[in-house]
Amino acid sequence: MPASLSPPAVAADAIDRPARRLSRTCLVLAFVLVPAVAGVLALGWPESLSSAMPELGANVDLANLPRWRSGLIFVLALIPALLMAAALLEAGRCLAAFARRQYFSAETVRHMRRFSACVFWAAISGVGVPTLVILIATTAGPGPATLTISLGSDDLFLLLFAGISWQIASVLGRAVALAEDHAQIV
Amino acid sequence: MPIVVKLDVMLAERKVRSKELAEFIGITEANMSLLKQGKVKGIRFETLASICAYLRCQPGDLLKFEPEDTAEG
Repeated sequence: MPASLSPPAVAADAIDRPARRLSRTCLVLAFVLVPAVAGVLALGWPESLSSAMPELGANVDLANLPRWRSGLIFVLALIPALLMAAALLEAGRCLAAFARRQYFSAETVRHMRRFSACVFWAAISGVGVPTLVILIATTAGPGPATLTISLGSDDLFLLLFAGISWQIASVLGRAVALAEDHAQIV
Repeated sequence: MPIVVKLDVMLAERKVRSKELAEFIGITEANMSLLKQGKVKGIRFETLASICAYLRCQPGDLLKFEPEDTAEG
C-alpha cells in the first residue's frame, strides 16, 4: 500500500468545495470591506460617524472640526475595518489551501494564526479607536474633555473568537507535526 | 537509532534490485532508499510483511537491535 496522507476522495470533496466557496467569499469581502466602510463614512460625513458613535455626536460639533482632525478621525475609524479585511484575507488563503487539499501544512497554520491575530487586534481596535476618536474630537473644543472607554459584548465575543481560533491553529500545528511524522513511516 | 535496517544486505543476498522490491510492495523508490538507510521513523507491518514475502526472510533478518553505546551512527 502506498504511503499517502490523502484522504478518501469523497471526504475530500466534502471539504474542498465548501472551502473553495468560503475562500472566494472571504477574499471578495476582504477587498470590498474597507472601500465600503470608507464610502459609507465619507458620503454621510459627519452624520455617519455620529450615528456610529452617538455619545460623540451628542457632545462634539463634528461638522466644525478642523480638517486635519476630521481626516485623522476618518483614518482611525477605518483601522478596525482594515484589520478585519486582513483577517478575511488570511481566512481566505487558509481556506484556499484547504481547497487544494493541503490540510496539514505549515502554510495553513501560518494563515490561521495570522487570522486569529488580526481578529484579536480588530477587537482591540474596536475598543481603542472610539476612545482615540473621542480624545481627538473633544480636545478640539474649549472646556473639560471626558474620555470614555466602552467594552461591549461584541468586542468580548470577538476576543473570545480570536482566542478559540488561535487555539485551533495550535491544534492544527500539532496535526502538521503528526502528519510529518506519519509521512516518515513507510 | 538502536534499530539498524539490514535491508540492503538481504537485497544483495537475494540479488534483488531496490526498484523491483519497491514496485512489489507499492512504495516509491525514494522511500525505499530512505528505508534502506534507516532514515525513516517507522515501518508498517504491511510493508514489512510484503518485504519478507518477496525476499523469503523473517523480520529479524531485516532489522537488528544495537544498543545506543555500541550502535554505529
